[in-house]
Amino acid sequence: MEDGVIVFMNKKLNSSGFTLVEAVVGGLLLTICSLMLISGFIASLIYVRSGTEIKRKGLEVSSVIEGAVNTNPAITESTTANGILSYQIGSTQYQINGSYLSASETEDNVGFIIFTSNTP
Amino acid sequence: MRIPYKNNKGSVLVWAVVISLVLTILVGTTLSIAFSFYHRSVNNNSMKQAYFTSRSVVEAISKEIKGETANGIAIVALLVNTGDVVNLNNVNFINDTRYMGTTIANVTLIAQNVIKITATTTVANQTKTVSLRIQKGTGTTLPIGTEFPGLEVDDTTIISETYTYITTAITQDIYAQANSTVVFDNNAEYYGIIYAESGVHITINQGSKFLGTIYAQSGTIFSFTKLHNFFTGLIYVKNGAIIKVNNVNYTITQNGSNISVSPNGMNTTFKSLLRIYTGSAADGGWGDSVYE
Repeated sequence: MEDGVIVFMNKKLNSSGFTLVEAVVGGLLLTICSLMLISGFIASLIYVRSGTEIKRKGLEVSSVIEGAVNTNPAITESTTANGILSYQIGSTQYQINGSYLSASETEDNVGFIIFTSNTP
Repeated sequence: MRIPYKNNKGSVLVWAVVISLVLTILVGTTLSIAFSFYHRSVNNNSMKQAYFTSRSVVEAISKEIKGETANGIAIVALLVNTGDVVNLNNVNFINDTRYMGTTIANVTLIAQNVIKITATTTVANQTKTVSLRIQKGTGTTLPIGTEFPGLEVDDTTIISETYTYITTAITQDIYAQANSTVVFDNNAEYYGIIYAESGVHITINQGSKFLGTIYAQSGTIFSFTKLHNFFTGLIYVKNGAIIKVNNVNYTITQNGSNISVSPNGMNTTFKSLLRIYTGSAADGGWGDSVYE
């Protein structure tokens, strides 16, 4: 009885040379690939969106560092007054006092910092 | 007649594999492009921080040198001969609230009156170098300073790269970069200063009034048909400069207390506006600075 079914299916599906096994394996492969395609495109979209956001935020935060007026509440600014730039020439240590201005957009951790010397 | 036997068995698997491969390549390509775009955005931000850090260092060091502080004097004291380099090691920012990267910096004596400060910072594999030149004495470090030592260019001056059209509405000074064009509108009434690098073409339309000053580098080109009675601004050139006036090259030289123009034939009104520049860079500390 079972042999009869398989023969019937083979005949039914074999009109273009398919066999049941071929159809199942082929279909499975295509399904996996379709899933890969969809998830791949979704991942790509997420990357592109995220990249665009990081780029936009980078431009916005850096313009705050350059002195632009900060109108975006998502960007926080802070000044640290006791900054020190230290360096060595030979074995002698030198220090320049100054302050730091930092601005950051916390959501994507996009932020910059700049040191300004106190020397007039 | 014999019909050839066509065996299609197994072809569906081949098709499935081919389609799978094509789709995989398509997805892989899309993903890699998207990831590359994302990565570039992140790298750009690292690069920006590297720039800010490098700029912080060169600005701080230039202030020390210009302000003749103990730090600045210590650096300058080591710069004796042209080409001498002072390396600033272990550059470190203390009490900073964010990572500023790793910086290497040096100060080089380019010429006896020119110091170059260079800082290179690396943040997350992104490297950015910022250089600043400071010049001893007064005067601009812009290219025009080579023919006009001691000449100061105001910060509010418009720096023109290609084309400037002068109307009465323009009040700022104009710095015309090499081979750019400056045109006086026929209704212009201009009182400012024009700094013209070599190759700048200044066209004076009939009717335009000028009561300012032009500093013209050798190689400046002037074109006009007729000068207005109120086109009385002065034109400074260096001794020996060659300027082209209405398609003729003239050499302007100091001859005693007079100005000699050769060959003869220059428009007399225009000639009366010419002056030889005699300024010089005053001695003193390190002055004007310019980023490279």
